Amino acid sequence: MLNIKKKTQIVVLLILIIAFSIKTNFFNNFIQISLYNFDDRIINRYGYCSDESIGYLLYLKKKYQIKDNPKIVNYIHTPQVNWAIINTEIINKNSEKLILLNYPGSEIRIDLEKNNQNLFEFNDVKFFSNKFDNIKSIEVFNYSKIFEKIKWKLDIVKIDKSRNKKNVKTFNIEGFLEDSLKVELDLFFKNLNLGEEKLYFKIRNISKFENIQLQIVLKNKYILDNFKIIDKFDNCYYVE
Amino acid sequence: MIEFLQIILSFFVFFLIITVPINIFNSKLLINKKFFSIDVASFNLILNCNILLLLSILPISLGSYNLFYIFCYLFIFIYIYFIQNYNFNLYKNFILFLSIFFVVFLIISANVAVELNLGWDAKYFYYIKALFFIENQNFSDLNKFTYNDWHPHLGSYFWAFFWNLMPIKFEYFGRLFYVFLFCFSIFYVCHNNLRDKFISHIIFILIILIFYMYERFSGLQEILIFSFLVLLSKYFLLLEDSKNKYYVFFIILGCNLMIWFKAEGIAYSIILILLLNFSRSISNKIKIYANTFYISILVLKIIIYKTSNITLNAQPYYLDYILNLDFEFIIYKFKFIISYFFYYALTNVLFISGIIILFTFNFKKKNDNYIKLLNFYFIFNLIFIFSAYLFRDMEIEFSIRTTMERIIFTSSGFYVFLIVNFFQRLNKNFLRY
Repeated sequence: MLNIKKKTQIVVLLILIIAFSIKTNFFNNFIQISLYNFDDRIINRYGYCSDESIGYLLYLKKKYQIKDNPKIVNYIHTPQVNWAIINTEIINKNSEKLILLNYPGSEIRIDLEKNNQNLFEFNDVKFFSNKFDNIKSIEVFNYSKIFEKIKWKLDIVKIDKSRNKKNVKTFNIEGFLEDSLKVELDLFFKNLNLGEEKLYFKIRNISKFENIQLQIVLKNKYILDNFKIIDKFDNCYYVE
Repeated sequence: MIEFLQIILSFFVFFLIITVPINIFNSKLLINKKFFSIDVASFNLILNCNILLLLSILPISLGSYNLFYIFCYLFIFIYIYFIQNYNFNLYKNFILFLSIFFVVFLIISANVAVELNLGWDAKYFYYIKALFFIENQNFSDLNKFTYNDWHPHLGSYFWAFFWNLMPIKFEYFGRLFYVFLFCFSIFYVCHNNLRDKFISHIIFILIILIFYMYERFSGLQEILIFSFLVLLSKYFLLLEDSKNKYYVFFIILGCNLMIWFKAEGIAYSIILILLLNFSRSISNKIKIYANTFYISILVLKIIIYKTSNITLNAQPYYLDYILNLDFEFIIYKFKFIISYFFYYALTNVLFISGIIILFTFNFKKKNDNYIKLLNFYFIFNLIFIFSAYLFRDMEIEFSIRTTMERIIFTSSGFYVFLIVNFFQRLNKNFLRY
């Protein structure tokens, strides 16, 4: 017979173990491991054709016996996903084939983040710069309820990690500004030579307009019409 | 269900790593010198991790030997515990003693098996390196991998070793070794010997309960350095108490592992070697041997990297950059470092508790050698954290936001034993066995 002290100790330990089980969701985890196989759990965690789309990559790897390291372009900013199907024996070689995940179409619109009245930041520019060819145009959205002819200067500025500024290019924004005004830029990323720099859009002579938003249009580097589609699921593609 | 059974099997495989080659109950070499069995188990762990390190750099593919290796260990296990010595009651008590450890391991493992998500760096570096070993390539082949130079390979090798060993080959079984290491390190500092100590079990579960988050086991390597810092922090106290040179030897072997886990492992290992030099418990002769041994380990690592055409370190630290830092920019960086340091330090329970306890005992026990060593650790650790960000050629806020939380977490490992001991002996003689 266990004495009272020993019994109490066991009960206390059990309570703590149960508390830890609840914290880690142990009972649910146990059911998941018992009911769902590893691949299902991976899809559940990473998505099939969403976010990292590891489910689709594993499906492709299995169906097409992929061992040639096709280049993978994921249009959602996640950690790199090539780990799911990489062949380390030829790690530095990419085949001619391409896997496009979460493909947004030939163009994408990005809202710039407003830092202050006339300074706008292109967040995550490095991520977009290797998936899109150029900044095709910029659109000014006017929420100021002032409608008049404008003659602004738009400076595109790079700031590096040591806070050095460099004016990349200046554009004129001219015209009658009602609700919005679109200006063609055709600014190629390859000409921006972006490393770890941040990219800002600064408008001069904007003083009256306090409530302005900027949106840019990027042109995709990969146009589906130029490829042969091998496999497709939603907006995930395996092409060559 | 088979997967769950394999998790249990993996525990027994990892269990071999702490019970072989030195008999943890009857080692004439060590037990006679007043080592408790659990100390010997930790020696086995460090020894075996060093053996695995040695295997990892040999030009032999993993698949050709890892099953053989474990069978050898199984054979040694059976021989030393069942043929050479057999003591049913002792084993029964030991199994009961370990049951809490096993249950905690099982709970965390189930969480790892379901969460599955790998950390950002794990996807960039560590998983792919593990895949190199899984695909029967070896250490020298890693130079093909562009990101190889950022961090060493040992954590990835452990991952691959145990992943490849299991009948059902899922990557997370390799990461369960990280879970085992972590659980064992906490269990080790919470227990002094094999007697069933209720309060030790309580502290063990409480620490895990407070500390646990899945992200630590998402393939990132911080948990490995953390676990070894936890283990080695206890060695420093035992060294102060027993003045036994075995601890010096195993501290250096632990440092050897750290320099192969992550780039910053070298900073932690240097700090520990400096602490050895500040210790009053070992003679100058031993200190000279220890320094020579450690320097030899570093030189050996450089030679291995050079002969395998691997760049020693690709971290963004450049002499030109450091020399050209102007005062204004240093102040600008310091503002970020200090602000985020306080934020992350305050949000890490182990780090902040450790520092508070350390400060408290500085006022109470000024002459305690172990407290002095912890003071040195605290100072060197601060210098390391601040200089790591000050001299890093990377956008400061991005750099801090993506890494400082993990550095604080890693550093907190050395305070765990202090915290455990504080609670164990709250009303008794603090830091004495």
